[in-house]
Formats: sequence, structure tokens, C-alpha cells
Amino acid sequence: MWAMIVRRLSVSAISLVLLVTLVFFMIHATPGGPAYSILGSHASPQAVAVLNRQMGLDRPLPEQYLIWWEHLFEGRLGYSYIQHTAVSHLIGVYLERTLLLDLAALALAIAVALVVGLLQGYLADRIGGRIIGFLQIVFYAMPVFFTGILLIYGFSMRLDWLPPGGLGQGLASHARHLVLPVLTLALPIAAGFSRYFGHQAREEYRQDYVRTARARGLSEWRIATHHVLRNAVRPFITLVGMMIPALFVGGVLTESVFNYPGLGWLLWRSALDQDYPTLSAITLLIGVLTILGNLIADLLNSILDVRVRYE
Amino acid sequence: MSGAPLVAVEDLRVTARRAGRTYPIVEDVSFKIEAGGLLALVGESGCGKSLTAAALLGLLPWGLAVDGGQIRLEGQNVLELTPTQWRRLRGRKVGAVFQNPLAALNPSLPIWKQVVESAELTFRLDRAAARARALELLELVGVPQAAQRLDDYPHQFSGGMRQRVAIALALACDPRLLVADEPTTALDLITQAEILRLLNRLRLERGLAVLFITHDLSLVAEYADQVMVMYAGRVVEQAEARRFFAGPRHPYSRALLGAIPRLATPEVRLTDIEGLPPSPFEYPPGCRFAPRCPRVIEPCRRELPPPAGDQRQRAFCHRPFAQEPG
Ligand SMILES: Nc1ncnc2c1ncn2[C@@H]1O[C@H](COP(=O)(O)OP(=O)(O)OP(=O)(O)O)[C@@H](O)[C@H]1O
Ligand SMILES: [Mg+2]
Repeated sequence: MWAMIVRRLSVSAISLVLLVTLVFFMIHATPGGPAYSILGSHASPQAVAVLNRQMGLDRPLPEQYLIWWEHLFEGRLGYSYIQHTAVSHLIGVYLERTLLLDLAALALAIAVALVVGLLQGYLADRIGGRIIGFLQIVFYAMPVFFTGILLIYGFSMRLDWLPPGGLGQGLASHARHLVLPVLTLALPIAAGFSRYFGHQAREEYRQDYVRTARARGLSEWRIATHHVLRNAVRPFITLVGMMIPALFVGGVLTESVFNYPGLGWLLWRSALDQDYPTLSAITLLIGVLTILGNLIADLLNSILDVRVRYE
Repeated sequence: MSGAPLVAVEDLRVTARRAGRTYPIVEDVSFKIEAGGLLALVGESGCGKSLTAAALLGLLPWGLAVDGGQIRLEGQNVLELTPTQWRRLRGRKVGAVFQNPLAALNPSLPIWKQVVESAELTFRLDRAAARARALELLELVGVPQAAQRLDDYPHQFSGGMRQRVAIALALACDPRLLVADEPTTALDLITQAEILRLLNRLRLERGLAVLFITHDLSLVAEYADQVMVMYAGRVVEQAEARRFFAGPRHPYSRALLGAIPRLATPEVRLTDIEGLPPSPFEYPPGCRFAPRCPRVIEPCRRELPPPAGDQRQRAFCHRPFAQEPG
């Protein structure tokens, strides 16, 4: 078990190094070099020269690479000449909002997937199971823009229950502002998750140990929660870990539909403004979170299943 | 004992719905098992053995239903119970073990938890009492060094041991009847014999009634006290074991016995019989065995055969073999 954890951690560490290196080269590969990407393509040669000296960009590449690492360790992610603040500060503010939205949507999607998936596994080919399967496809295929606008139309414009977007002031208002974006983001993810988990649950319901459990007079509730769930949830955890990047992508779209100032919104803006320091920092961050998500999922799995051998 | 049998099934009928019609899959099955009795239910694949057992347990697969008859457990007709009431009887009055011991246990729970799970819930045992009960059950079914194996997972046991553990699971709440649906088919010959000896010991020592389903007559010849042979959803012969093995009266029973060299009678062999059993959706009128029967006569193809013989040996046949003295 410990050997496995060490091995798994080193895989994550290697991925991390590759990620950081990749982003480094991405910055240096932009046309005209990083100075142009930082200052914009219409910068004057003098400004470029000043910046190059200031940032050490006139030094040899390996040295710059080391400096890049050093800065990362110090939390210095560069300066956004467009927003006129340190990128680390910018990211700190926006990341918090995004984490709130994305994690709430993730938690909702997981909860829905577990309940719906168990029910679907139990119902199998019966009419109820088929209806669930149909709805999953519909919701999975529904684009975030479409769901978002539909929800805004229904709950904000017609019913006037919830704000159509933006950021609230204070806890209650913030929560109210989050409802529609969270629903929008969670819906397709819940559909995908529950389809996958429902399939796993169904496979488990076919197993003989379920029949043995029924023959012992255990209730369906007990069988679902203590037997089927336990076995079906492991591959599902891996899936959830793997879907973290998709969650961010969905988050980017959701944030732009609801005008919610989070990381996705920032990514969107900085792409339009060609704000490369911010862009590369966000890229790094999403990469790190992805690696972390997968790591957590795998570790959780190995704790749940003592027999898993890392191979 | 009040004299009433532990379990009495009368005219059991199981039907399937398909395309708006109902098809009988199991028909007119009646039997009784006393405490400590062992009834062997035999027949080729697909003849309805498992469905009979499932009906008895209230665990028919979705789409099938009991459509007539009675199932009495200690005098009570369980078909009149609500699903929840019937569920509460499972485990407490009837236990079950099935064919595939490799899959019968949950792979991700240590066995002691599985063994006592039903008892824990039924009798509200605390952890120490539950572990003690688990140990007691594992020792009862003959798991060696049971105390050291409580925390092991199913994959750490051999097939035969897993079947013993599965039996322990079924016995956790002290049921009076054990339904064993081909519990040894997936095991090697020596292990088969061991499991059978275990079941035999349980019925002798604890008065456990056993419904033992198999398609291998030689396996149960030593232990059964009643034999019931099914063909295409119907009982073709049922008899006291001694009578049956002395001379089965139905041609199909003879064919089954003929497949066992040691018990063979020269007249009929299963290998001599052409064809396959009919599907439940195309049962022929009259005797269902008629299309394959070497002794077929004219009425067989028209009329259901009446019972021939007495309480101790009864064959449903228009032209049964003569009764052997026994
Ligand atoms: N869910 C179902 N729906 C319709 N027909 C079924 C269903 N389950 C079983 N049957 C049919 O009922 C018949 C009896 O099945 P059963 O499982 O009782 O046979 P069996 O005697 O136990 O055979 P085996 O030795 O293979 O276990 C078979 O012909 C089978 O095709
Ligand atoms: Mg069967």
C-alpha cells in the first residue's frame, strides 16, 4: 500500500514537472518572444528591450528555465500589463469564486449521480430505467449556453425568483446568485456521471452476491447502500478525478453565460486581451488541479480497496 | 413437531408474460419436506428447477410470477404475505445457497461481516457478539482456523471454502429450510462430496430441511430421502429415494439414471434419447416428454399423463415401467 502511494506520488510529481516545462516553452514559443506576448504585438522595440533585461529574458534559455522554477516556488506568476496587477493576486481573487461554483456543481452532480445511478441499476431494463437512460442522453447533450439561457428565462425573467447572473453581496445573496450557474454546470455533468455510475451499478446488481443478499432477507435499501454502492463506486471515483478538466471547461462557459467573474471568465478575458502572463498562469493552475484531482481519486480508491495493486 | 411438514408446496404454477400472453413455465409442482428431510430435485438444464426454488424463496426474476398454488412454510401460506413480510422470513425461515460460490460473496467486504450481516440486523447484535456469532458459524460449516480468517476477503478462499462460507451466510439466522440450487456444480468431485456431507450433517444434527437441486443423480443417491424429477416444467416422477433408486418408473427418470454407469438399468439411456427439451413457449400438448420418449404410445401425444403408483412412488406416465419390489 505504501509502496503504491509512493509510486503514485512520483507519477504526479513527474506530470507536474512536465506541465511546468511545457508552459515555459509555450511562453517562449510565442512569435517575437515572451516580451511581445507580454506587452502586445505593437510594443516599441525600446519597451521590449527594457522588459527583456528586467525579466532576464536576455539570458540563456536554461538559466531562464531555472529562474522560472524559482519564481514559481516563490509564488510569483508575473505581472499583468493589461490588468495592472500581479497575476498571483488576480488569480487568488478569481480562483476562490470559481472553486465555489465548480465544487458546488461537482458535489451536486456526484450526489445526483449516486442516487439516480443506483435506481437505474436496480430498475435495469424496466420502463423506469429506460426513461432515466433517455433523460441522461438529453441532458448530457444539452449545451451549457442553452441550459443557462433556458434557466435564466424561466427562473429569472418569467418567475423572477433568482438573479440572472453576476455576483451577490453578502452570503445569502451570493448563494442566490450561485443557484442557476451551479444547476447549469451540474446538469450535463450529473447526466454523464449518473450514466456511467448507473452502468456500474447495473453490472453489480447482476452479480450473484446481490441474490445472496436478497435470499438472506436484506432490504433493497441495505443492498443498495452496503453492497452495490461499495463495489460500483470505485471506477466512478476514477471517472470523477478524470473529469476535473471538463468541469473547468464547463465552468468557463457557465461563467461567461452568467457573467460570473471567476477564473473561467478571467481566462476568457485574458484570451481576448492577449494577456499572456495571466493565460499561462491559469493554464498552469488548471493543469495542477487536474493532476491533483486524479491523485486524490486514485488515493481514495486505494484506501477503499485494499486489494488494488498499482500496476 | 406438530406433524405438519416444514414446507409444503401445492400445485405451484409459475408463469411468464411475453407479448401480452402468459406462458406457464412451471406447472403442478407439489412436494413436502419434513424437518431433517432432504429432497433432491433433478432434471436437465432448463426444466424449471431454479424457478421452483426461486418461487419458494419469493425471488422470482422480474417478469415471472407465481400464478397459482400454495407455498406453506410451517403451515403459513407465504403467498398471502406482503413483500416486506416475506422478506423478513427469508434468512430466518428459509436460507439459500446457489451455484457459483465465486460470485456469491461480496468481493469488497471481509467475510465475517457478510456472514453475520443478516443476524446482526435481525437480532441487533453489537460488534463483539457479531464477531462471536461469525466465528461460531464458520466453525459450524467447517472452515479451518476460522478465528484467524474472520477478516479475510472472499478472494482469499478456495472455491470449496467459499461455498462453505456461503452456507454459513445462509445459516446465520437459523433457518429451518435450506434451498441449495446446484451448490456443488462448479466444484471438483472431492469438494462436491465434502459439501454434501456437510449439508447431510447439518440436517441430521440440527433438523435442517434441505431442498437440493442438481442434475447429477449419483451425487445425491447416498443422502436424499426423496427424489423429484422434473421435465419441461412438470414433475414426471416423485418417490422415496429407496424406491426410486431401486427402479424408477418414468422413462425419463430411467434415462437420467442410465447416465450413471453404477446405477444404470439396461433399458434406456439418456444418450439414446434424441432431441432437446422443448422451450417453455412451445410445450407440446399431452406428455411433454412424448416427442423424445422411446416408449411413446398414442395417448401420450394428446393427454396429460395421470399419476401412476402410490404415495411412496408416483410417475406421471401413460406407460410407466413396472414397480420394482423395494
Ligand atoms: N426471466 C425469465 N423469463 C422467461 N423465461 C425464463 C426466465 N428465467 C428462466 N426462464 C425459462 O424458464 C425455464 C426454466 O428455467 P430454470 O432456470 O428454472 O431451469 P433449471 O432447471 O434451473 O436449469 P439449469 O440446470 O440450467 O439451472 C428455462 O427454459 C428458461 O428459459
Ligand atoms: Mg438452475
